[in-house]
Amino acid sequence: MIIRTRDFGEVEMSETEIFHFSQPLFGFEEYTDYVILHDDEIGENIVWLQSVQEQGLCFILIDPSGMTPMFAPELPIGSEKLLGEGDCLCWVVAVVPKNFKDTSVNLKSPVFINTESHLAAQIMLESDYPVRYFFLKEGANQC
Amino acid sequence: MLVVSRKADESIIIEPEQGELIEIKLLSIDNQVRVGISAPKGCKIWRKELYTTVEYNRNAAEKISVGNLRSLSSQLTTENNND
Repeated sequence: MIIRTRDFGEVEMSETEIFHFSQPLFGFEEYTDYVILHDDEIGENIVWLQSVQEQGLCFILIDPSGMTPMFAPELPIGSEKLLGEGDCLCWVVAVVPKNFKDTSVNLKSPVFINTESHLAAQIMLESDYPVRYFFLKEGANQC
Repeated sequence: MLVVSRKADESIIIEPEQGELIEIKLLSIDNQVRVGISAPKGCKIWRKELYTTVEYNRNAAEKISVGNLRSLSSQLTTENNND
């Protein structure tokens, strides 16, 4: 099927590549179906979460692994009802401003994607992680 | 901030300058307070700690430049190489 995307024009995707959010991104409850898009030049650590229903709706997700040792996300009890059986990938939603060094990510509410069940959810973690984590600046402070 | 004392089963009415009334009722008070809210259709109600993520998501959905992402991606690659 053809998916109209915000940043890549029309893209041919298989229906099996669609992830259904049993708990959508907070504030965007009406948009439940997304695909993940990559750009070869950008690499695998940064992806586009593109709404299937609305061309203009798209989020940038970053792989949080290695970002900070303090981040060890644990799914709250009951999350398997949202995500189904199997392992999940954890991504964090990013805000990338004009000055990219001010990029932040939301460590408090990551997006979990189950590649087996094709279910996904944005889940608020119980641990006290920051909603705006400026990982490039935090990293610089540690040097 | 307005501070008012209320017992269980008592309510507060918020009357906006325009639109319908909002009622906040304290249903029960133990070590947690149960709150009931009646608000007009279309009025969204959030737990505050969740609302910070709603605001964050709205920012995150704004258009970005792919050039910025390239700079960010090369920065991430450099950092990983330094590790």
